[in-house]
Amino acid sequence: MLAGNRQDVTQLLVAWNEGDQDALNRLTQMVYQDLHRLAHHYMRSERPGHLLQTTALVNETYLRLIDWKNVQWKNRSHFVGTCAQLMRRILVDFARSHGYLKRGGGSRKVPLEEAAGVMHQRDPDLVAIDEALKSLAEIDPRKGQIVELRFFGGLSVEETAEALGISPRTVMREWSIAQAWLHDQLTGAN
Amino acid sequence: MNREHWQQINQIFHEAQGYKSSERKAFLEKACAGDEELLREVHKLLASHEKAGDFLESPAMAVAAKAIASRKDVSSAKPEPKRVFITITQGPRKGKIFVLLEQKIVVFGRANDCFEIMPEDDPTVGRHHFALEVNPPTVGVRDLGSLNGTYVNGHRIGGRRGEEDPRQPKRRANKLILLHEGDVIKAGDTMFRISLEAPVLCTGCGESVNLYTAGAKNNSVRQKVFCEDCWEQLRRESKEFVRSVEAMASVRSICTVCDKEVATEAGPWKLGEFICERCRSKMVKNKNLLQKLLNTTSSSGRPDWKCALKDYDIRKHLGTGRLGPVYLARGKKDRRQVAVKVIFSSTVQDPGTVAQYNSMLEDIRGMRHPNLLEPVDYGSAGGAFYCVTEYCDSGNISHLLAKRRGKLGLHEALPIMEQALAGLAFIHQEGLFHGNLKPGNILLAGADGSWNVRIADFGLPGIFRELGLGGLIASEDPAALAYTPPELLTGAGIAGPLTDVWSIAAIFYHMLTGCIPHERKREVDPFASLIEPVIVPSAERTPDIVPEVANLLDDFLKLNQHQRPQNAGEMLERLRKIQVRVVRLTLAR
Repeated sequence: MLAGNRQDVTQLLVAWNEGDQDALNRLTQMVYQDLHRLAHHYMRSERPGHLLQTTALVNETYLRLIDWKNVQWKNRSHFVGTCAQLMRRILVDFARSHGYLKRGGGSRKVPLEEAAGVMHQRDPDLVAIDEALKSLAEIDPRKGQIVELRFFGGLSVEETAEALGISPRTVMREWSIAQAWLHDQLTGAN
Repeated sequence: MNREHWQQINQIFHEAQGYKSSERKAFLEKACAGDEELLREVHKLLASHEKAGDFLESPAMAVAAKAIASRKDVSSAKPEPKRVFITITQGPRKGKIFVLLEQKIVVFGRANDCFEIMPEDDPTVGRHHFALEVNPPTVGVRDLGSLNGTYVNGHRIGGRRGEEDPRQPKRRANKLILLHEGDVIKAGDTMFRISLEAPVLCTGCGESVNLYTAGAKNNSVRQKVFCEDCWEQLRRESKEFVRSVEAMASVRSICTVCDKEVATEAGPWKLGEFICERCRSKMVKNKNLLQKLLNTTSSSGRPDWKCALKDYDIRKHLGTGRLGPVYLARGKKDRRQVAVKVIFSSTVQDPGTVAQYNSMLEDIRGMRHPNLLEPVDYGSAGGAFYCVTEYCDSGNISHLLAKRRGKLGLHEALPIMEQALAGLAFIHQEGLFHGNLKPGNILLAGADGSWNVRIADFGLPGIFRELGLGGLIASEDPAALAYTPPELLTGAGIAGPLTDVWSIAAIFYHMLTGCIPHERKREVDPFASLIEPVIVPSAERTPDIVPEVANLLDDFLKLNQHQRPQNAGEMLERLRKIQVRVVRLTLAR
């Protein structure tokens, strides 16, 4: 399933980190490909039991970028952080350029049953999260980092803890408050 | 908010979580010590924490993908579907319009299972009078052996010849006649008008224009069409816009191969690459011409693929399928033998279609299974698409049947059946279906007797259909339709795993009995015997067939969809149940 060669991805990341614009373009393309493939899978995953496969797919996408065991970086957290930043940038740009990922951009007919629970089910708006996350990072950089790694980077609690050199318990503590704060920012305001 | 204040909120938030909700209020009041604002902030956060649930728990990638998937018109990059309109212009149902969007065969006549049931009181209309084979934007008509024939623009097609007894059913299969915009079909007293529609792009912005919305039809300058927005701007505004429009309007459609202008063939308003019909038919035979096209214009759709098709030597024309010619090729670097399938599109290939083709094939490429043909590369060249797969050197089931003089022994057939079902079960498990199963699509690799089965052509016809590239009309030869379940031939059913079940079962039936499952009376039109089939029990065809196998085949070939196994997985299970016994039996014999 993996479209890209891990070595390639790693080299591209290094290049991007050094300011190579072409590398960013290529990485963006790769992420888009994955994104669309994933979307295809969601579209046809109406049957139960499919969810697992899709979750595995999401992980696969990240794994491709996060093969950090074999890379010479200043430190692991720097590398993982770079990946998460990249994903954040690409996905937010994508959401911005496709109005429909934004709240209110593009309407969608919702069946009545679904409408009743719509506030629960609604998926978050990436552009708004990006903005809110910037404010969070200003007052509390570490929480900002945790959200970036977990939400945009797709890391588990344990992986986040390892990358930041703190305990999983601390990650959970910080995550719960950051999550509450962001939720309040995104739903409370309107 | 400053950092200190935030730290304070954090501290109290975490401590408050240690208290039961009944004690929490008291704790908070104490902890905030009269600081109203602080209390409010912490309250707000605690309330939000309870509501947050799994907010942000699924990664951003999944969120973005779901958002794309949930949008009904994911197809923003996808070209407008091509349509075929059929209007009844004369007869009792005058004014009725049918819109056909997908590949389908629809039968017109007085019988109840027809797509359009024609008036009972018109004695000149047959039970199954004629069939339209639709594959937007291509459509053809075939007379089904009617007594009085079908008329296309006043010319009679089909019907009986003078010397044929009108009381006897007709014996010949009629030819398929391709229809064009504005053609009129007449059967009995009813007349149908055909109109084909291909999407038209706005010359101003390149977006597709729906010609059927009010006003759009008038927004045209010298055969150029504009969408509402561009047209408004054009009218309101500057000469500059008019000039740029004129510049764009002067873009001519040119065949990628022969450089001749092809506006009439490609349609005057379309932007994109196109190969004219003459060059297309020339290239099917001439591999050098094709190689030249591939060398100069091919671009792989794979994001990670460095070698384009120019790195392959086209060596031999292997055959021509429904989608287009297939060639044997060899990698210049790795010397690997591959099969290259070239698919010529009969419509203009705009960048949107190319992107869509690539994304759909990328999706398929992820599907790996030992019994599916391994895809290697895909992409586009000039006005054609291509798809590179592994090469199977031992032919297909058709070839094998010919070699074995018509039918296979059970010992050879069973492993083939098992492997084919395993591959198909994988497709069904993924929520997809094949849609075009026939003996020629079940390929064989490996040595005689220990075959490795690979299912080919998976997904391609569907993709082509979805992209509306046309040119894929079903074969002239009715025998090729024997593996299509009757409900698809009359237009009464839709393709899915259930139709795959019937198709693969019909192939197995052919392998074991040497003939197709339909009863074939000499005096009946072969096409008619396919749409109103009588399935002959396999034991009647080969009396010495093992009864378990015969039962299995007859169960799989039920005409009622709901009595069949629901997917290949179920078929495989049933086959495996009887397998051990059957193998023992055949050995004993």
